[in-house]
Amino acid sequence: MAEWLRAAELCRFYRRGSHVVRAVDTVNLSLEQGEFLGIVGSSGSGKSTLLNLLAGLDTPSAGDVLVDGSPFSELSRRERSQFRSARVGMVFQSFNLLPQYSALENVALALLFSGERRRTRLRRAAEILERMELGDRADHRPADLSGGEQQRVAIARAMIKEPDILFADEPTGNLDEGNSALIADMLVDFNSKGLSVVMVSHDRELTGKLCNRVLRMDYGRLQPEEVAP
Amino acid sequence: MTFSDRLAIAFGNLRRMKLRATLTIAGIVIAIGAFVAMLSFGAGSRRNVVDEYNKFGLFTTMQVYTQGEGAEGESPAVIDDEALAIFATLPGVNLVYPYDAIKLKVRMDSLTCEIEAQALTPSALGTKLFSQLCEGSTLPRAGERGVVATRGLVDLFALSAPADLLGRHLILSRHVASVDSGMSQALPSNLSEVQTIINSVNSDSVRRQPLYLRRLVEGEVSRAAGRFFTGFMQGAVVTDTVTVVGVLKARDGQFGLKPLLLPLETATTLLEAGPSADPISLFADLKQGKLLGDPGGERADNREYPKATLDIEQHASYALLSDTLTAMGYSSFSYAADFEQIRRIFIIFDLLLGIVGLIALITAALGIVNTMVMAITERRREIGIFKSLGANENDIRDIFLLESGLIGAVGATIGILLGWGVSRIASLVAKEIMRNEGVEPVELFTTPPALIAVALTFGILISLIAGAWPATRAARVDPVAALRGE
Ligand SMILES: Nc1ncnc2c1ncn2[C@@H]1O[C@H](COP(=O)(O)OP(=O)(O)OP(=O)(O)O)[C@@H](O)[C@H]1O
Ligand SMILES: [Mg+2]
Repeated sequence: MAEWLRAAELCRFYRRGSHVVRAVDTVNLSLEQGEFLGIVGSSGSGKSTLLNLLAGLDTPSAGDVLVDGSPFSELSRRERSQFRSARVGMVFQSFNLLPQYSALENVALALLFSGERRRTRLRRAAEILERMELGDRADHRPADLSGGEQQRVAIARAMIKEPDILFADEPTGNLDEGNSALIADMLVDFNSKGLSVVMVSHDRELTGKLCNRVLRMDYGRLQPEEVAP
Repeated sequence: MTFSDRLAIAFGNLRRMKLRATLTIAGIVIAIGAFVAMLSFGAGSRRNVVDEYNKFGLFTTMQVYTQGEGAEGESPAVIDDEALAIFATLPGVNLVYPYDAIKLKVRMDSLTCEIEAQALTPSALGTKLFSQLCEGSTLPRAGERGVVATRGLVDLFALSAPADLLGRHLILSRHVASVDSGMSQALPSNLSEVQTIINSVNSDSVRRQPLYLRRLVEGEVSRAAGRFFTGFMQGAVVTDTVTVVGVLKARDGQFGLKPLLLPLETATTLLEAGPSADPISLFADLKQGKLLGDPGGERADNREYPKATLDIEQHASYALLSDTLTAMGYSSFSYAADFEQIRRIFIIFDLLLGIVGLIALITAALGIVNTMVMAITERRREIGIFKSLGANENDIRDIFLLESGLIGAVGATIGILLGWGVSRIASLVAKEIMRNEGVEPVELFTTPPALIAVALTFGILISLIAGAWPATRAARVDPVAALRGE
């Protein structure tokens, strides 16, 4: 399969007084279309930082991210927003739903920046919630949903714009086994339909079950050798 | 993201912070309300003055005066009939009439007053200045010798209301000097008086001293001249009976109005009877040589007036006319030029009121800054989520800007209504007070559409300015840090 996302000598440093934290240190990574990549590593090793860099949400201290061969550094902030809006889905450990909106509105929100009309947005949100068996929860606020349901709404929000890639930062970190399995099934399903996935997880069993390839991060460095699934 | 999307989000956010938004809006409401109410008062006062000016046609009236002593060697320009005819040909002049005051005694029932009356041609009586009546009409009905009174006469006769004067008969009398009366006094009235004079002459003395006779005759002649003058001054009294057909609205002394306005016809009858028996005006007339010759025709042809009034066209140039008159040796006064001065005062007045309103508005705008800065802190995570979903900095900035714009728009709208309401209530109260004080109530407040537009624009504009900085800050929130929950 063709490579389409690449990190080249990617660095992200944080300056803490005289001390420099190398959150991501000279990472080279190539991602193929339809790949399911797992990233593991101890807490503080820079997994989330790497994910944010790849999604274009964070700006590297050095190095670059290339999408289809064109580097982020040559894109304006607005163009990177457009890239995120059109091609990237993100799922977080803490769901990050907006408490004031219903599940339906939260999902529809993802289409807000892609120029869809409100009617279309709500219709498509209703459709995807129905497909993810959350149709009866559409009117509920996040506070009225279980953790598993919230994360499914978050995945629906990430998937509604049919992105090319999904960045999932410990998507099952706050869930019990049953709900974790449910989320895992969903991700596998989307991946089988051509979605590229980069997932950060502590759960070795989960990464082993889902990923084509698992890499480990240590102190900001991505270890070149694959971890045995 | 369309405008309506942004608007919906901004509106939803304001609803979420209901109490804070309400308080912030209240600040704008009060500021705009005060702004509108105060400037409504300014606009109302200005309109009152303009109305008054228009009512009396003051914008189209110009006064021309003689300049007293002329320049060295030149005799001062006078306002006589010839001059009046020249004034009438000046560009923009519709009508010219002289200021012609006559001293009269007015008798109504048993009361007699000495007044000055102003004689006016029918066309002059038709101008706006003399058409603002509180009672009656200016045009005398057929067969009636009508006059128009001003409130001054109402006061002179101690009447309670102008209406009491309407339809009343006034006996006008004018004391004129008369040659006939002088002659009759100068000549001894009967023969026995002549005999007494003759008897008193000592014939011996006449024969011995020719000078005695001369002194006798001279003494007699001067005594006769004295008697003539006394008789001349006692003269005759001409009277005329007229009916009051209208009473002017103008207050006493306003615009230099005399208590009584006479149609020229009535005035002429009184004037043609002879020169005034008032020693001062008689002396003035004598000096001008006006008493010699035919007392009627000659005199009327060559009268001089202290001033004249020009009724001019709406859009005529006052400055040009005034310059022309100055060049001709007259001085002039126009209420329109006077009004320029008043207008300047009004602009300063409005400006002061506006500044007070603006200060209130700026204080309220600081409330917006405070509210929006707090909103950023509370919504950092939300901003992070929006950015992770693909919102760019402009999207975030616009949402925040729209929120402060909405606060301004809602605040300004309610504020305008409040200001209008307050000015209505204040107007009603003021009118009631004026009515109780016996003054004719006037509208003190006006809220012109331009004021509403300015208030709305100001309210929104200042809110947007206040929101600009918080909005820029919101747009710059780092999504990574925001999502980490820092
Ligand atoms: N804004 C920041 N300022 C300073 N240091 C930071 C900042 N953000 C992250 N770091 C540091 O960078 C390193 C990597 O953080 P990151 O969140 O990527 O770790 P992680 O692998 O995702 O950890 P976890 O498994 O606990 O989520 C950490 O040591 C963290 O303290
Ligand atoms: Mg992390």
